[in-house]
Amino acid sequence: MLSNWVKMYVNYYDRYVKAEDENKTIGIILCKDKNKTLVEITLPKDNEQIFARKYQLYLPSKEELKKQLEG
Amino acid sequence: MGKTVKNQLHRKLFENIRDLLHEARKSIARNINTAMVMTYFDIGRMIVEHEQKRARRAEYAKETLKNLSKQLVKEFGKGFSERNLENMRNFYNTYSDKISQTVSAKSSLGRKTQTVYGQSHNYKNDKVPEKYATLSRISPEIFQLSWSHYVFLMRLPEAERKFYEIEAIKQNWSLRELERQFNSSLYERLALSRDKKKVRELTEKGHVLAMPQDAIKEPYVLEFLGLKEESAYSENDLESAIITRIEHFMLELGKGFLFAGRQVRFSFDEDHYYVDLIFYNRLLKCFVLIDLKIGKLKHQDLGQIYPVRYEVAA
Repeated sequence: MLSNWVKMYVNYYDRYVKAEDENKTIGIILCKDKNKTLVEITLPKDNEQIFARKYQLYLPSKEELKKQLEG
Repeated sequence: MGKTVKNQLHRKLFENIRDLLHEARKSIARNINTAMVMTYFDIGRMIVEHEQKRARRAEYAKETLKNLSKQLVKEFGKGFSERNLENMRNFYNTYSDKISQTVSAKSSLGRKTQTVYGQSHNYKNDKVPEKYATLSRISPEIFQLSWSHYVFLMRLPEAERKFYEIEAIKQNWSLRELERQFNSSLYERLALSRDKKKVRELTEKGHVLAMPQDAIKEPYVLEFLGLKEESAYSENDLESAIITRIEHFMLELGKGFLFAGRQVRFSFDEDHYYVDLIFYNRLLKCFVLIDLKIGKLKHQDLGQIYPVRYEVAA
């Protein structure tokens, strides 16, 4: 459900905002409830292995984001 | 004068002033709303008339809307997307019958009608400037709901549309409430039920009323007025603290993130969605969208708001 939610934003950006020579949009959803936090990162699906590694290089990790979320 | 009498008088004064202020706010909200809906109705009319004259072919009509939208968006903001212009055209097509009936009824009685700008005029049909022909002749009572309400209503079949429109006006439903009642199939339930009174009583429970302040903060209204949308309108304190923290964190990562926006809105018809944070990463050459969901309620909301009719293309 959550990833669907962010997918809607991502698709909108890919379709209407992204320029042709730019890479596909990445979505990150952060959830905070009373006693748990959850981070989901949506990477573009059709990307080569190389890109996936490149994303990992620059994006913060889920753990880092969780820490920020928990304050 | 006794103390209690004095206090009572003072309270009365306060209450009177308070009522006056509430009334003034309501009337401003109502006037803005009427001006906006009537303007969109007239834009719809202009588009339809243009198409009838010049753009009979469908592709040509589409091209016209596209160009028009580009020009209007540049000057008046994204409320004038092609999609929304189409809504205005449909709005005119849907409601023009209703208007022409009322207008002819009124003009035959020679009654006063009010313009959007609030002055009263005694119109004779031939004296109204052609450009604003409909705008100035429609009486404001015809459109009592907000533009977003009408965008929602226009999608319904005629009988249902009329029903929900009347109910929404009568019971002062916010858009949320209108959607809720529609989703609970009030129309069908009333049609099927023998105890109509009971069904109605049930609908009045937990009912969200439209407040004048909310009506003005609505994104389309702010845009119509040429006012800037403040992100503070849609964030609460806890959210804004977390968003600010994440914002700094991303920018301080030193990995090529550039700030691109906060609480960025995009709209599909009457639904407005906000992405909490948007970055651009210059090393990855892509946008990174971050959305924050807080609390249980929001989780439930998710299922409900997630729009079925705007299927996500996988």
